[in-house]
Amino acid sequence: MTRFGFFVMGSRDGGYTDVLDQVTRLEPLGFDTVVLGERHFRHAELLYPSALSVGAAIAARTECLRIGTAGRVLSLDHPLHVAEDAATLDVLSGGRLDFGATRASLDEDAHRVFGVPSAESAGRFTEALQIIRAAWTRETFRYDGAHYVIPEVSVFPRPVQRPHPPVYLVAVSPERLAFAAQEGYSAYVGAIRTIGELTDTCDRYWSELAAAGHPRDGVELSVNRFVYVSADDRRARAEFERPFMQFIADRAPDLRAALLAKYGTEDELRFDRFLDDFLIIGGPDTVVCRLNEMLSAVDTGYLLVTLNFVTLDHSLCERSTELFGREVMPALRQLESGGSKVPVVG
Amino acid sequence: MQIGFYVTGSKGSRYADLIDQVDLAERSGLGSVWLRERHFHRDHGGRNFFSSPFVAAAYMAARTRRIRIGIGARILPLDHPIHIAEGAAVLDRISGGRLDLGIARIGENELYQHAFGTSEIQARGRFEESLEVLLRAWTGEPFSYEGKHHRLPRVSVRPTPQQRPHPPLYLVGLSQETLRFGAARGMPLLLAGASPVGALRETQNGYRALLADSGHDPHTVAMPVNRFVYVAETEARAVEETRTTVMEFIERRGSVIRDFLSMNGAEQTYERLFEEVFIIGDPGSCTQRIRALAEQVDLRHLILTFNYFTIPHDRCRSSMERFVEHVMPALDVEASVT
Repeated sequence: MTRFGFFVMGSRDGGYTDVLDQVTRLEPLGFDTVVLGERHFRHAELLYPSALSVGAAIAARTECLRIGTAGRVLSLDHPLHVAEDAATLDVLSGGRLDFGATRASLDEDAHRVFGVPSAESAGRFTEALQIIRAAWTRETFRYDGAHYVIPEVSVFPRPVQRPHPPVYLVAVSPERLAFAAQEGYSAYVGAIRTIGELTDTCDRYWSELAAAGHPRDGVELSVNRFVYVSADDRRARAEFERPFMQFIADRAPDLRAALLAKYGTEDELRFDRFLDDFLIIGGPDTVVCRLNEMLSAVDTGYLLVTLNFVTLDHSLCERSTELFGREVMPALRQLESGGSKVPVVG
Repeated sequence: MQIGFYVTGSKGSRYADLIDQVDLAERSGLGSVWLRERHFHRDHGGRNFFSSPFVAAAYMAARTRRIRIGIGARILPLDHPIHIAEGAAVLDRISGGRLDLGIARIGENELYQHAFGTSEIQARGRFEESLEVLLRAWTGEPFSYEGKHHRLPRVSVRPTPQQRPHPPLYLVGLSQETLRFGAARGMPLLLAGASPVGALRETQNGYRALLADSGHDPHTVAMPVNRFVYVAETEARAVEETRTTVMEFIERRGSVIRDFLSMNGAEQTYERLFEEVFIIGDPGSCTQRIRALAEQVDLRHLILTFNYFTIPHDRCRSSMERFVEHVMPALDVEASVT
């Protein structure tokens, strides 16, 4: 059964408490997972520089919602702090952590401030992952790397999930995705691929995973989509287009760079193209059809939806999330359990 | 008098027990709950919240509405000051402005520094620079920093804490140099729990003198006292229920509490601890002993340790309940304000 995750991006005029309240309501709406990013400085006003602390606050207000990060930026922090924080959250949540990690911050400022050149981030990331897994699973260990030297230690607490919480890697490039598959890690796949591109990406991941000898059990490939649900298609577009284009223009330099790489020039960044290629917006019926079409074609068991972003009014995010929970998710689950995998074109 | 509560661990240290104690503290009108930072701490298989006090505190903040959340203390040199500034601000926001932040220069032993890639020698410099960075970061204004240990390009840190200009800071320290540093800034001082009354009084008097030297009014600066407490039904049961557990606690492997007792090993008997360090007895005698302590030291702020690693949770809980029901009403406890 497809898992549904909610990616927290913040909303316009929504404070910390609003976002936490919104997340608390995800559980009764039927979401399986909430996923938190890590952002610093000018991007941290509504997002979170301390994702694992926010995860702990969410754990205190929910019963069974899984809590993911996408992802802790491993190169910016000491891996023992990351291991301890993540294990503490796993304990406090009763084993509900999906530990997502990423190599480098999307924001070069973070690397400058924390004194870690992005050029070092690949080496630090590889060492940090080894240290974190050792801290979670080994009675005692020592580590002698190029970036980290750790004398013999026993790290506590130990996570509740055994041998450790599932590890997801944020795979922004084919190379990162191949690395995740080879190492047997779950992965998050970005939001701007077309269905055709997604199909290829996912197939490649699963075949590389198998080729590396890792079983598919316990591994997830999470596909991210921007989704917006309103009363009908016309209103959805009227409410969504302007804030989304503003988001790309002013507030999401990383996404803008990825779109420019994909479409070539500024002039090509047109809403209609995004609509054809990756945005899923409309009334509930349209959103159900389009997501069903995608889920039928793409080999993934985990849809991560982005229903809020910092240029979209909080009240609109809330309504869209409600509609997604009450109308879209149940319909998709019903289509899935009915065995209907035939694409329905809306 | 303000009364707080240290979350440590009880025998068996089930996480649910610790959370249960925090919930009880919230319901009972205690003013604050405090978490420590410790690493590689083995008691009961390491089932404790010591290694990530901010993460544990965020959980407790989201479970409670009223009680203040204290960190006693973050060891500044072990982490990047910007991580600490961000983490404290997020926690202050999540708790609706209920954070009290203690800061320390060193932890229990040198392994901390070595494991986190720093050293004993750097500890003081890193500690002092970190505090400067924290204070600048919490303004939310752009700043850059050029120190020996930290060099930061121009940056504005987000979010800012809810409490302005920042959450109340508390110093944890033992060395004269650290105490002087804190007194010069007029910082409240969190006192260690295992000191005998005489040592406690000496530390408070010394810190008051340092405060006065730096031009601060010593009477306006808080010096919270930490005490181990056990309230039993009768005096005899109090002794019976704690004699073994207290001594096991002091003598257990890896414990550093003996070093803080300011007594030589031969003096560290149950009787001396009973007299000087622990507040153990029936409700009436615990009340008496707290009142007597208040005659000898500044006890405007008292942070209690009800649980320590060798005492079973149910006994710890009953002791807390007796304290709340019988001892607290007899003391002049300030209603907590949030």
